[in-house]
Amino acid sequence: MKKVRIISVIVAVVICSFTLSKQETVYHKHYTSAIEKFEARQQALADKIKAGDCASAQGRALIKEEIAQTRLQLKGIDFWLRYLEPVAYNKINGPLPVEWENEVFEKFEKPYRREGAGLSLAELYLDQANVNKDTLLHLIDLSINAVKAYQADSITGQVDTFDHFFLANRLFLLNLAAIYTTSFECPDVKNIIPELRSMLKDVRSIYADYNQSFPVMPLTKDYLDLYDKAIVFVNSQSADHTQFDHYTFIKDYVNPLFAINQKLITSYNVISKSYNDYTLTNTATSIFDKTLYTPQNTKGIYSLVDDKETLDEIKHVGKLLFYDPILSGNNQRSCVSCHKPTQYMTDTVLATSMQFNKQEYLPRNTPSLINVVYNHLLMLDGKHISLQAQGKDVMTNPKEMGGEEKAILEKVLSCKEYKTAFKKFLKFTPEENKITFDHIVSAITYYYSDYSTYYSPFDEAMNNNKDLSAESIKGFNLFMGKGRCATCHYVPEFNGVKPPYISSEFEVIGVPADSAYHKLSDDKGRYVVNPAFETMNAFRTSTVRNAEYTKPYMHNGVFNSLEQVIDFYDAGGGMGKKLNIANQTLSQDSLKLSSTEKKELISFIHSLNEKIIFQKAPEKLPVSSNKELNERKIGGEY
Amino acid sequence: MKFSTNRYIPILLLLSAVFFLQCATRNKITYNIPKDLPEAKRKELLEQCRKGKELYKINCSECHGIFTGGKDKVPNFTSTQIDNYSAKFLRHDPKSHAVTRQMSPEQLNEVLMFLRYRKINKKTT
Repeated sequence: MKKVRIISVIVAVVICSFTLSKQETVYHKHYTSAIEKFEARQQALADKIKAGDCASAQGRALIKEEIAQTRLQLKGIDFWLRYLEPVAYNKINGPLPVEWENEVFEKFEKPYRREGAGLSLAELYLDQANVNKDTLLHLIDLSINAVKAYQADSITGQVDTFDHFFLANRLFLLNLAAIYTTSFECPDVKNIIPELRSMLKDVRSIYADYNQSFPVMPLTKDYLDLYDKAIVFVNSQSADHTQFDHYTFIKDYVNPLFAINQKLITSYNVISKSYNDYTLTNTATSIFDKTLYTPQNTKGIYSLVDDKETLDEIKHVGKLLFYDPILSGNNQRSCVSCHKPTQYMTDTVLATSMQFNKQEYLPRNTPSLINVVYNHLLMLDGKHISLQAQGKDVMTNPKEMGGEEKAILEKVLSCKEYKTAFKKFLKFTPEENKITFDHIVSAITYYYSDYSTYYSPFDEAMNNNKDLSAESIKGFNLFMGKGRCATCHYVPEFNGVKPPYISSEFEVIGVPADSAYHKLSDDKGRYVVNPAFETMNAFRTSTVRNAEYTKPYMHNGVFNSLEQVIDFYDAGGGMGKKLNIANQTLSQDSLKLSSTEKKELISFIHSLNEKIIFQKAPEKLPVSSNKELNERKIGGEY
Repeated sequence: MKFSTNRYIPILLLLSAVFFLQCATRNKITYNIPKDLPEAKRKELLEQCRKGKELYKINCSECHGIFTGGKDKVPNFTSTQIDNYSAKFLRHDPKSHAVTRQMSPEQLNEVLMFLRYRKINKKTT
């Protein structure tokens, strides 16, 4: 009898737990109903467009108003949509009609063509001449279809776990810092702040329902208290986005919230099921921590080495190689020939560096090696996906260092010091039978990547509450707001990598061939790697960090001062300067910056100068058994 | 009749050589690389597989091997299992082993190539 009772109790418990787990949580219900509501709202928008009048200005204004209302609703669930299915999101609120994207892990493949659709594009389309109703409806229909992706089991299943919540929240906070307060995907800038307010309020209700449904893994009280203060702060700000205090918003609210969320990710042992989280680290407790995301592997072939002493030795050899012209075809050029440590790892004198033949010049400006590790695609046209591939290309390029793989290896190994060191390192790369070109390149990338780990006064203000001049703060607010710089140069690296930091962006800004704007630079840029209408004259967005010391600017080094660069953007890029460009991604309208504002912007850019400690050149290079090679100069001759 | 032992030495040597050769081929891993691939590509893949094998020995076989008879043995992972590993590697899944987070993308790729192209000998495992 006792046995039967025990069994029946077990059965009852199992049934109970089964039925209980089937019951939807408040949080899940919130999700489901919000998605349904948004779908209905979009349907209503489509109906309004069908019944409306696209031909008259009045009719278009009515549709715009309807779009604005739909956008507000979207912002309330952006928290989920952007994280759970980023590809579908592109159809709901894509920023551009066509984007060429490299799949997260398939960077070696050709980029994919992604057509955007949805609210932002519909809004922009309404401003064009001869609005076609069917085209407009199509943009909305695609968006309605895309919402269905969020009702699939694979996605709704995630809503029942706590993991996705903290990861979605992390993306939300990063977006608050990087794009939500800029005009990145808000065509009508007067809506930026109202949308932000509405979004913060709606996300607060998501938080509340989450905490009710997951009481064991809650968002902590200190988080919620600070979040409430952030809402008060945003509500106290002017509705005019040019007046918004981005600096305080990020420093006092978003970044500390990010820190708490990161700690919760660690302490709750949150596990990501999304590919899109792969570069983000859980340990960085500030958005301005240089370890926030790691797109590049700096160690290359030495990835498995973690012993400090060996790593230091690799770094030392990397440094010697960096200065050693033995890597070039004529033993007269080294990495230092163009990336001068005395000039912020670039060449600040020449617009474009000299070619190997000492007569002609290269087509593009030498980029600084500082902070290149924060890009997914390297070179200004994004030709390479790894630092090592890039390094090999420069060494073997007949116009650059003119070397040849086999010869380089032979010459390097003719030096006893190199040979002994590499023989030792070979033990740490057991998959290799012998010393390879990779051993050389990886030592170099590991060495110079050290220069990307320094912080600027702006970072210190954000991270450690250090003071920053009022002028620089104003400059930052201009950078994020009126200047619209941050719509392409994203926080925190101020390069073309935006949250969740998994791809590099390219822009067409219309850089002229000469500073008098006679014609457009004839460099095809990204088109060379991926030919398409959108990629013609497109270049990878570079970082603004250390810009004061990395002149000249632009892919061809056409501008010599930051003032010239800012004037270029202020005028609306190449198109603003009356150059004929079919695909410029930068608005051709003037930013109408005053001279004081320009000064403030420059002051902010100066606050991004990192406190880098530059190493001295080695005093001598390893001696080779080939006597001729011992004539070579440290750093090369030209 | 007197036997000269010297006569048998070469035969014995030959026999033992055959024996050793057999032992050696038994443990030798071969790969299923599509025949119609160009020679250069085949070589490249073989080299990747070879590196992958070395990396596997050091980083994986300590666990994935002990149940199949010795440190150097590789279990017969199904293609689904290999694909799952591939996905986990790429995502830097914290649930997957620490060592996979440490390897460079190229190294991870080599391990996977090794597992994918390895010819499975049903008798040995």
